[in-house]
Amino acid sequence: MLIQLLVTLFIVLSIVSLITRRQRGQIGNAGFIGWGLLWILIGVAFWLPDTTSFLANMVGIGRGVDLAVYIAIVVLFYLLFRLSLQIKQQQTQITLLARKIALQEKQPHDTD
Amino acid sequence: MKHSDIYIIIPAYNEGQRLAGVLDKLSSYDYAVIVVDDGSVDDTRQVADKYQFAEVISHPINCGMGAALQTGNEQALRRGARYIVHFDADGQMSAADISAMTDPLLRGQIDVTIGSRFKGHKINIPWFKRYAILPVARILTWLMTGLWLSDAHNGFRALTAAVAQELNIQQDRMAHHTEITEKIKRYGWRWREVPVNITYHEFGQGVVGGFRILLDVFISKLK
Repeated sequence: MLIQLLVTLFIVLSIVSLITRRQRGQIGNAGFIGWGLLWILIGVAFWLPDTTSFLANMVGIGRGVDLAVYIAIVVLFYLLFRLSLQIKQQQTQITLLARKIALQEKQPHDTD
Repeated sequence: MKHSDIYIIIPAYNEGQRLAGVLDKLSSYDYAVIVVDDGSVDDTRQVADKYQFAEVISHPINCGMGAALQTGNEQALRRGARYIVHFDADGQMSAADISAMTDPLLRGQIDVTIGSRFKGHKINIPWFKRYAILPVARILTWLMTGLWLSDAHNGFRALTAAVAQELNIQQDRMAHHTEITEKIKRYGWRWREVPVNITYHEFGQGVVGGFRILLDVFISKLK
């Protein structure tokens, strides 16, 4: 099927990019293994859809594709949550930096 | 620059049009004034620079009102302030009320005063804000901070230097009001509400602004 070929191509490119990032030291071991496993699992789910049906039945969900959608939603929400916290943290750091610069600029004129 | 124990901190973001009026009124008092230009893209900085008695600090980018107040607090403490007053740049607050805000501090009775629009003065608050937004805001403030105020999110406040030292505002944007109220309760500072006049030029914090504050408070609890 065309969709399987397209997804496989995308997964292969993603794994190549992951390996390149690992070699450049842009990603740690945990990230490399985590993302690598995720792409492999996505590949397995696309080529062997029965595996997702088997897992779905195990946890009491009717169809494999439903399980994949539920997991994707949970993972996406978690990533969004983490991203929003990280953005907030970066904003705080940028603010600290901006405040520091502003106060440092005032220092030479302390005797004004 | 004026030399006073009382420092007025004015956080200003794109207030070039109204700041002059605020500084004109403050010029007839003996307070030391610090304007924190919070990354304005208009002529706020240039307007403030025209007033010799005002010290101007500029954030290189817009950081938010809470951050600007913290910068002002730090600079005032560095200058040896004994009392700090938070005052808006938009001309809604009255300079004549500053002495009423600082008097309880000067007498050593109180650590923090908070301005209230509902304590005796005649008020001109927009109807929807008065009867819909503010009552909800008061209840939410009480739930989040444990302090029951007659007014909510009134930015007019006066602090002793000791309180300003300990305060260390972490909420960069509008949620700093809630943070300060919560710290008053947590640190056991002696506080009082003082009647103040607020003249409305525009609506101010609306429902969307309120949700943004709630979100900021919620995220800060998760960090």
